[in-house]
Amino acid sequence: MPPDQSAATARPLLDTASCCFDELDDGGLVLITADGCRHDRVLVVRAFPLSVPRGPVAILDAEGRELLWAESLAAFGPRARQQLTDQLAAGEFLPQIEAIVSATRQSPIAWEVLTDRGRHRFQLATADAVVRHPDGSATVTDAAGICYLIPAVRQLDRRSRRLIERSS
Amino acid sequence: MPSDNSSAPLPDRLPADCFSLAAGEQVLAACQSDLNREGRFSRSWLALTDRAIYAEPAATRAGGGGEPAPTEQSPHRWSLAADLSLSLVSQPTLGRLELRAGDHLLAHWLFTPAVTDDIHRFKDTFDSRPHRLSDPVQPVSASKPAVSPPAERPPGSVTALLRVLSFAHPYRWVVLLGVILALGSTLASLVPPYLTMPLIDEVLIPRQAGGAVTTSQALPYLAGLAAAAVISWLLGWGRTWTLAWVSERIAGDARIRTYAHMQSLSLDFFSTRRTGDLIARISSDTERLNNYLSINLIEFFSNLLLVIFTAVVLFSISPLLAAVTLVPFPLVIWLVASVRGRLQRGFAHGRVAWADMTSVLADTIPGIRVVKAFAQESRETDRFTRANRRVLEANDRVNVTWSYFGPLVTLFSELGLLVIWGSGVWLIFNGSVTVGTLTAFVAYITRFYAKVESMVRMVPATQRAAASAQRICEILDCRPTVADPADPRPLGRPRGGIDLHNIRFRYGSREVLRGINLRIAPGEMIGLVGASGSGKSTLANLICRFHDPSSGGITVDGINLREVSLESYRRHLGCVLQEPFLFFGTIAENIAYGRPEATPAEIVAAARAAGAHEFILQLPLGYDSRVGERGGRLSGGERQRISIARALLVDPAILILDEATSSVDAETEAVIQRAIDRLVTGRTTIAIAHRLATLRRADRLVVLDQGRICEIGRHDELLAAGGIYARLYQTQMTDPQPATPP
Repeated sequence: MPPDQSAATARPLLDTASCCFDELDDGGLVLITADGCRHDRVLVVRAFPLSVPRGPVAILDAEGRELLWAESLAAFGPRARQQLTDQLAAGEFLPQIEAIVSATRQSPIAWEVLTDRGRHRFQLATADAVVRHPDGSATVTDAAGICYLIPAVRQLDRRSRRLIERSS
Repeated sequence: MPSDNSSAPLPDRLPADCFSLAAGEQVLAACQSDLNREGRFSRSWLALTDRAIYAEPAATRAGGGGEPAPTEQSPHRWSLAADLSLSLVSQPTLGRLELRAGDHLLAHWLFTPAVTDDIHRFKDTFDSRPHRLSDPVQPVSASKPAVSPPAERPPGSVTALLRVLSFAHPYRWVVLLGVILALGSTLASLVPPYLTMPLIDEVLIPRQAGGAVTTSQALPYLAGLAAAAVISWLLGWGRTWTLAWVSERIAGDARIRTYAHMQSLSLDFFSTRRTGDLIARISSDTERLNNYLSINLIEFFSNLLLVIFTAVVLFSISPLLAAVTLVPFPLVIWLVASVRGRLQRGFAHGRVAWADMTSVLADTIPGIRVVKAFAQESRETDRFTRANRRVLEANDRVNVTWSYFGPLVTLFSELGLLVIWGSGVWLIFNGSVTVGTLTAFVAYITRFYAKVESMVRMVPATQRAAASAQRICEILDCRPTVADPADPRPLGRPRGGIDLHNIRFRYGSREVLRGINLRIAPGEMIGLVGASGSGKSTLANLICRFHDPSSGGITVDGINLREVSLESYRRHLGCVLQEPFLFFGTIAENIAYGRPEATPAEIVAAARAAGAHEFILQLPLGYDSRVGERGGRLSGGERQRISIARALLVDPAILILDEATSSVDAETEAVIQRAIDRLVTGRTTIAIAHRLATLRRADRLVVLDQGRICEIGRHDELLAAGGIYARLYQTQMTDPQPATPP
């Protein structure tokens, strides 16, 4: 029995259908409520970007207060969905590693990788840099705290897999 | 505390002939005090019947060596009168039981913490006597401590090793295969010297003597030698791999079994032991066993086979020569037997020193902030250095013993060779053996003593492994002090009515709770208030059933907690503790810790209710962000809200809040307080807080003092009453520290 949501939330959340969005020149997103209230530079985030990537989406205002919650982007109309997808794409930074080109042997271990965002070289985090998930994916964290995703470790080439073994 | 009498076994029950009771007189309780009036160890019985209190004169059983002193005094007897009273004076190390008639002290007995529980039970039975006179109590057996006694020490560490070896049972067929392979490879390795015998006698010597022998006659022998080497190698490979596979599994099973057993043990097991020691037992002791099984035991077994076979072969070739060469062998056996005990003790000391060293690590690494804050890095390094030195010293002592083994056996084998050459020369001149036979003997005996040497090295290895096995068995032998009943009653979702009936609880001889009676209605929120040490947390621990009360009982919806299984009860229990503990994993996993099958929607709902949702969304990976061992980059208040969400998600019928907000600032507390207010609705809640403002929503406040309830009521009632609560409240209001007034 999950706790009652309506009682739990201090402010009522906005209704998905009653909102529309406007884009600012610099790429910021404005949420306009049914009664014409504007929330500038809202933050669109996925609640479970790794475990339920197509799942819940939340919109926070500039102060970090939750304005809106949707179980998925499908809850929005086509135009809003496109705007939100763009916004998520701009805000999300989760490069997918396609291959590991090289890895240094000694710590700090540095990897050179091919990602969907291009070739990149980074230093692995000191602890738990590579975390494998039950679904066969893995996340890699670098020394700067940036997270990388390997969607399916088994589908990497042999060399890449061997380098992961060596580094983790 | 070694003493002449303390090792004497404690009789369980009052001996029937101890006191001469009247016909029909019934013993209600009995106990033994374990000190005499001078504070010397001496046991004497006390008995409570439905008519009187009896006491053995303390002197009769005193004296050294447990010998009853010759003085025969008759036992004391005090008839139960209305003004007869027993009182306990508890001191840190000694307790005193006093018997009074009115104000007049009739007698007193001294006792150590070892028998505290029995004495308390005795006194409790005495105190409840007036009510029970009409309803005779079951005779109480004298010694049945609430805390289970330390498990019987296993008779010897080698027994422990055998016990760990019994984990091999599921793999017995693989073990058998390994043994067969070992047998084969050993036999194969015995072939070469046997082939050299005819090679010398029938090919080489006749050839040297000018006989008509061609090289082709030598070829079968050479081929045989090569084949034996290859077969021995292949079988040896198979043997080593098979047995390594098995030993890896045995050690793995020992690890799992030990860890699972440790998880089943009660909290007091963990509070009395050091983390580092437990980690060392589960990790390095099992690994040591694995090495022993996979390397030493295999080696020992194949060496033993080889030694036996070699002896057989030697005797079959030449019994006389064999008898002569094996003379030093019994000496080696005797040597081994003589130092075994010393080795075992030495290795046990080594393991203890090692565990001490690990404990220093397990102590200082989590406490590194304190170390740094007080600039004690070099002191901690010194502490580690000392622990490390103790490891070296312990190992040095035992190294002296085992290291002299190998060279000694080498010496014996040299002597053996000398004996062979000497007697061989004589026998060849006599014509009773051939040169080939002597060569084979020399080859065999070199192998023989090489194997004996490595078998002897097996002795320290065995003792080392046995010490590890014993440390593993010590954990396996611990029994949970809070145990599941044999036949648990089913417990559905409780409504949450909790009834505490005359709860007493002691840590050792210190009585923390002295008779708590409280009835909590389903859904009621109780605030526990009191100074540090007044017993608040202990009471909460008892309700969680982390401990069982020393006497008295707790019922939930009328069912005694001791009658239901721990798991079925704790499933309906939620705890928010002062120090929120986050496990390594994602935030979502941490929130779903008590209900791993929770859906993302349920996790989000719980986080929302706990006021954690918005800050989680702002983390780079939202609910999928990972938090580390110590909560990663989250603040104390954020971690606390995650732990509230965790408690909320299991939707507990009974909620324990143990200083849930005391480690955060006032503003965060206000946020958490709102989360808690939502959490307590509709649940029976026991909240402990130093800041009284935190408890403003409590239906009743229970004020504890010295382990007793001294006030119960609502906030304003208690203020008006002007008692302890009012005083506490006034102090806090004038103190600027607590910032949120109710």
